[in-house]
Amino acid sequence: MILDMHVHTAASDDAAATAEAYLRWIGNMRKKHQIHGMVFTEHRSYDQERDYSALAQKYDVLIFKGAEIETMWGHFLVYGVTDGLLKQFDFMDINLDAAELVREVQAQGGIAVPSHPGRKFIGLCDYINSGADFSAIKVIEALNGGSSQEENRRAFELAAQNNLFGIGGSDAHYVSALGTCMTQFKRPITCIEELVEELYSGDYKPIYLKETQHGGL
Amino acid sequence: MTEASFFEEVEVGDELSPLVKQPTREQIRAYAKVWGATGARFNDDEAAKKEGLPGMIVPGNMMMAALAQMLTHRFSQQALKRLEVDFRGFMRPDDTLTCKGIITEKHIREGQNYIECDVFVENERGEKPVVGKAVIVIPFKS
Amino acid sequence: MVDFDRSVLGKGFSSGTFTIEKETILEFCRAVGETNPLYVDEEAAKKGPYGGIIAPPTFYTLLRTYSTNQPDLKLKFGTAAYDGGESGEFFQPIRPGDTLTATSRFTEVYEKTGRSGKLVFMVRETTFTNQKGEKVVVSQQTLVRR
Repeated sequence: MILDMHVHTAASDDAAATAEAYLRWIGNMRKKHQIHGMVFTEHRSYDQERDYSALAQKYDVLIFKGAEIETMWGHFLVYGVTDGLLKQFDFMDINLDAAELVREVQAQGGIAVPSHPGRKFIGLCDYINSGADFSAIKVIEALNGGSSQEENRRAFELAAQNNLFGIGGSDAHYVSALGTCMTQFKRPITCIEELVEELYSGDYKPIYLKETQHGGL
Repeated sequence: MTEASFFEEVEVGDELSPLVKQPTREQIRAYAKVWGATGARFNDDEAAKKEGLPGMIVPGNMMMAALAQMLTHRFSQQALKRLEVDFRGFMRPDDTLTCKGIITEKHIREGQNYIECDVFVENERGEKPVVGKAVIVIPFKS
Repeated sequence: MVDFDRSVLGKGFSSGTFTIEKETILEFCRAVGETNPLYVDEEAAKKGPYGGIIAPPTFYTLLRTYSTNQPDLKLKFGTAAYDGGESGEFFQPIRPGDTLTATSRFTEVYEKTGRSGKLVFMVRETTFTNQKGEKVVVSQQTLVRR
């Protein structure tokens, strides 16, 4: 099963694509490539009310909701956002305590994953030697479609040196960037709880779009 | 000057003919002059460095104009309804900046034939210092 | 949280009157390498859809809508400002001889972090109207401070 783990819609401040535009684009992508679904990870926000199930069904695409929030150790993707987390953390705050966030997200049945760790200032690589406790981090975004080759190389190195699992996500802000990097899971996933469970299992790998061509896997 | 483009002829996934720009320092200064932008960053390498920049930079709007040029060349000025861009990185004089576009949506709404097109400027290092989206309305051929 | 005067958000203010000259359109075209006769060739443009020269779509970005009327956001952050983004919605063409009136308002101020550190984004919307009272362009400009 192949999912794009990091996608922004117009609900993010700097993205222009609507959810439905991505869904129609997937129809076009599927002529050549495999993609089963995506996770909408909006910047500094999580809309509890937004329900994508009708659209998901209409276009036969799995849609999950997450968030991308900002901490003093860089940006984190959060999968499995709960009411409790939204009460406990102000998602708009750009100086969240990352260690506390990672622990609390895990305690509440989710997972927090450092996004684009190889980027300067907003990636975990810049902070790994800061002396802070990173032991709760199990997974990083090893492949990010918006990062340079060098930034992704730093992310892979971070994963290798610290025995972390790696996911892939496009970080798409525009329709045509969808799926440039994705994650290939071994087992099928049907709900956010299963997605979180699979992320802790480590049974997946980050891949580039070209690796998903029909007949190529 | 404009390639005829009718709704039937456009498919999702189609790419526009790229437009290559290599703005020189003279062109950037000329643009800044029409704009009335007297600041160092568009006029003087050494003074720009003192502002913490790598040197003179290409105004983002100058490349937005180039993207509009690519779009109106393909679809006409009348067709272009909206153009939005994000400036994500510095562009330097003499960078090879390629304007590109790819059709992402095609639908009819309230009797109008809408095309949506992702647009971006790519440099020779494969980076995209400008990304954006255009909304276009074009007629049927028949 | 970013510190600024929230009462300024949404408040409209007049941000300038601009008389459009043909020579400015031509200079703009020369600077960006635009050669479409619709913008640069009076004779050819006369036979075209607009009956004369018009300005290219993004010409409006040259109009400096910073008047003394602009309310002070009292933003206490950053020493440098950059253009973060721009969007234009096009309603009517801009022609030489037009007099455009601009009205602006700040719609959003928010902070985020990027590769270069902490940033504050300000979004400013401007509506340009011509002498016939027609809406010409609505623009949204994103200014970044760091």
